Amino acid sequence: MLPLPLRRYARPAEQVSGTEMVLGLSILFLTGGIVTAFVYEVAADRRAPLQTAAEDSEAPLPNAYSGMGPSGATKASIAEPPFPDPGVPGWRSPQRVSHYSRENLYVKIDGRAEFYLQSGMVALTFGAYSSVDDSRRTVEVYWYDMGDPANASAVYRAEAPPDATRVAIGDEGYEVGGAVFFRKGAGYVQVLPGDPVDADGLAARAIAQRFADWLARQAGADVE
Amino acid sequence: MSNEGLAVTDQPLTRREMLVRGAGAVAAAGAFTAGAFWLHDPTGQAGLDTGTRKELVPKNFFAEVDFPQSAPRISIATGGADQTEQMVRAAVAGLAPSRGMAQFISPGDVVLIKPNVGFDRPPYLGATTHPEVVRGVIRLCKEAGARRVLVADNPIEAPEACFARSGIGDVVQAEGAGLFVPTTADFVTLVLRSRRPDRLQGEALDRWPVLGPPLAQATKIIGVAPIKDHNLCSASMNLKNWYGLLGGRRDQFHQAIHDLISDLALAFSPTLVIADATRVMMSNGPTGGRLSDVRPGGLLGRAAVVASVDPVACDAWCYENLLGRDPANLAYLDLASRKIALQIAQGAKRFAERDWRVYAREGRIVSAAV
Repeated sequence: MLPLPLRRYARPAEQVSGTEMVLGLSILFLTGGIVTAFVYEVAADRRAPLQTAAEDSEAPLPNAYSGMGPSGATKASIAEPPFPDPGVPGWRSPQRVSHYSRENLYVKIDGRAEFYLQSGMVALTFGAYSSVDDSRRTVEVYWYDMGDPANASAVYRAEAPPDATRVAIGDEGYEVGGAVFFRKGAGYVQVLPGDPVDADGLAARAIAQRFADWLARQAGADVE
Repeated sequence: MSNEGLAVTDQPLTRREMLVRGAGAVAAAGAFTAGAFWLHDPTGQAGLDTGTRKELVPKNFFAEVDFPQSAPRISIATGGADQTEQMVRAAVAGLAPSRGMAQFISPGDVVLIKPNVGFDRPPYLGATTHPEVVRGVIRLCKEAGARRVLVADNPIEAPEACFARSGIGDVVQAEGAGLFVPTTADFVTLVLRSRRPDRLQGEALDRWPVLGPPLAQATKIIGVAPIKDHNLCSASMNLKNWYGLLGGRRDQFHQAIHDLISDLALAFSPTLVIADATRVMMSNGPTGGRLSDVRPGGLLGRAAVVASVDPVACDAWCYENLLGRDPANLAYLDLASRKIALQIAQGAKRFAERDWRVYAREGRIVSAAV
């Protein structure tokens, strides 16, 4: 049933002349073309997005753990707290953990993102441990899920300085200036103290060890 | 199906009536489209609350500087890790021995200082401009009589966190300068070209959102960039530093990064650039993460600050002498010098020497140890 205002225009199809039909359809297509052109040129204007990258980075992906690929550690983390307890007196776990996928990695490490993406990165999970006494003292953890141990090993080796001090953390690891870098399975982890002082460096190393153990447990749980 | 109940006219439409209705439909569609165009704001929220124009055109911030043709174009100061401010002073003084910063900044100027605060990383990692370099520049501007000194950047990560972690926020506050932390409402459209960019000519930008209020207010601009290895464009230096004034999905330029950087060089003609080589990121840039990625002064082996009135030549010098790479292989330097040369040919007061050795031969590169 047509709405009341339009009923006066309703006619049986046989009463519509051929000319009228052609003109009507032409108007219909013309209107559609105008709207399509408008959407293409204006509404979908490539200049339109004005949000800053930083704004994007404020929004963790709600389903960051879904569809993250074959890495056991990542999948297992669904049922676990996002990061392990630091296990260092005077330090606390991250108050907030951020997740980045292949699509939005640039909002965290723009300019460097391609390096990891080209090596098969699946996801980055980031969190900052902090001192209970001084929240400005931090140890940041960048956990790259490279999807595959070979990928993780490739980026680990590409970034490692040749003269780095090796440490027995994860499957392979090194320490430089208080920061610890290691690979565990498909995970490539960077543990960076906010200040390269001894105390924070020691905390970084302890947290790195804790994190590597946690990844090992996650991988084990995943296998089971 | 009965037509009963419908107000059906038994008479077919007359030609006149049909034409009137058709014209009405066309007029309605046209009015709708015209209204949509009229209501459309190409800059979205940007510009509505800034008190500035919605569009900016590039401005030459060097045009009003009385800079002698014979004066040095690049000035390098080296020193110890705790002599950063002295290095800044010495580097600027090298360009203008008699007047120092007063050669560039006049009483009453509003100076925009543009550091690189791109990442939420502490100063020792070298991913951001060292806060003590920013402090030195702020002090020099104030001593020269600047009415206002603004410090602004649009970091990749959360701006507040980046300014805090880099130490630059604290320095700006301590020195009584203005810190401009961007919000989404602060972006206005920079119109570099009124036509679409020609990719074959190495062009990337036509209209793009930039940090509006500080650019609109500034009468002088000083870029203060750290020297870094960069995964995409080989090196992040003075020219790449302007990338931090862009808004929008700037990652989409990654495939044409050299075109973009050279366009930024064309768009931003600063009063002065100061390269922060207190620690140079030699590898794993632009984020780094290891102390081993950075080295004081890069290949110089000693912390350095480089001031210049020619951002292209300064980048070429830094690329070779700090990072140890051949500037002949850095595409954006070629593009930038060619684009700026066209500007200069049209009367713009700028310098864009592709080969820093030209300045060396002319005695226009000076250095000092503090």
